[in-house]
Amino acid sequence: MNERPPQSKRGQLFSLDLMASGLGFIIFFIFLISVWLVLSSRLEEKREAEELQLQAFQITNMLIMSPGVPADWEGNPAEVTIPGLQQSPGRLNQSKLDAFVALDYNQVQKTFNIGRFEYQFKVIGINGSLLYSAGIPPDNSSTRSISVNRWVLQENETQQILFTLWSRSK
Amino acid sequence: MPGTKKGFILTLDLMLGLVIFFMVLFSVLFFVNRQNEFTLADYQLLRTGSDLVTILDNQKRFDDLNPLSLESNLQDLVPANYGLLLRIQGEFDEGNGTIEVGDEIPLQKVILSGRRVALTDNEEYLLITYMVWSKEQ
Repeated sequence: MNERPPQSKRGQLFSLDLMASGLGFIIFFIFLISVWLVLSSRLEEKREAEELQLQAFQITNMLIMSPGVPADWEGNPAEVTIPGLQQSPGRLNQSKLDAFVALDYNQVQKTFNIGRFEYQFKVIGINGSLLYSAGIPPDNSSTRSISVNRWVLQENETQQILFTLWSRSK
Repeated sequence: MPGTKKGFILTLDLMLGLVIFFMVLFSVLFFVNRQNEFTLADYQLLRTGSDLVTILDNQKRFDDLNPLSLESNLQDLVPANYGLLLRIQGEFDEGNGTIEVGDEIPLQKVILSGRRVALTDNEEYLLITYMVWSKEQ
């Protein structure tokens, strides 16, 4: 005679438990993925903003603290490698400034390697009057912009240099 | 031998303890890091201070070391929305080798400072400490 052993509940898989834990796992997994997506998008935004800041500061430094490459580039603006406006520390050279403002927009983008962004360059007098302007001001398509202002002497007057670097929505 | 619970590490307690410990650690690190962050506005402020001192140096305003004329130059030069205090140190008789010109340092404001050196036409070496802050308009 075959006798079946008495049934025991130990070690059995309860489908309700399985479903509950499966559901719990899926909810947790979806939560984890959403957190991951939000964090990575924030990180990407931060990276872009920092890149824009860094580029804007470096370009303003190059413009104000260097005479450019070649040093007499204003004589032949078409052959400029890096535009710079410095005459002496803290002072701008008038002919370099004139040549820079007249430079082709795409050429400036190319020399500063900022093809992905747009820029605007302004020189403002101490009384707030706009003295020089070049480039494109941020418009409705702008997603992020950084403005860097610096103070210089030009024609024996203190003037403000405002360089704005901005990105368009893709 | 009958099992005893004494001396056992309870895994759940350990896990809970570790989770709380790391949560506290990360929160502290996050806030400490945030406190020490140097923002774009701070960098901008510091550059403004540095630019203004460079302009004064370029105009040779430090050559006569006259506090009154320096004060008047600062008033003309410094934009209305910035405050600037200069501490000029060197081997000169005026003020036992230290001159301070500019605005009074405000309370409860973020004040950034930087240093640069200058050489006057009389070959006098100056150490200039600038303190800069933004003013409400």
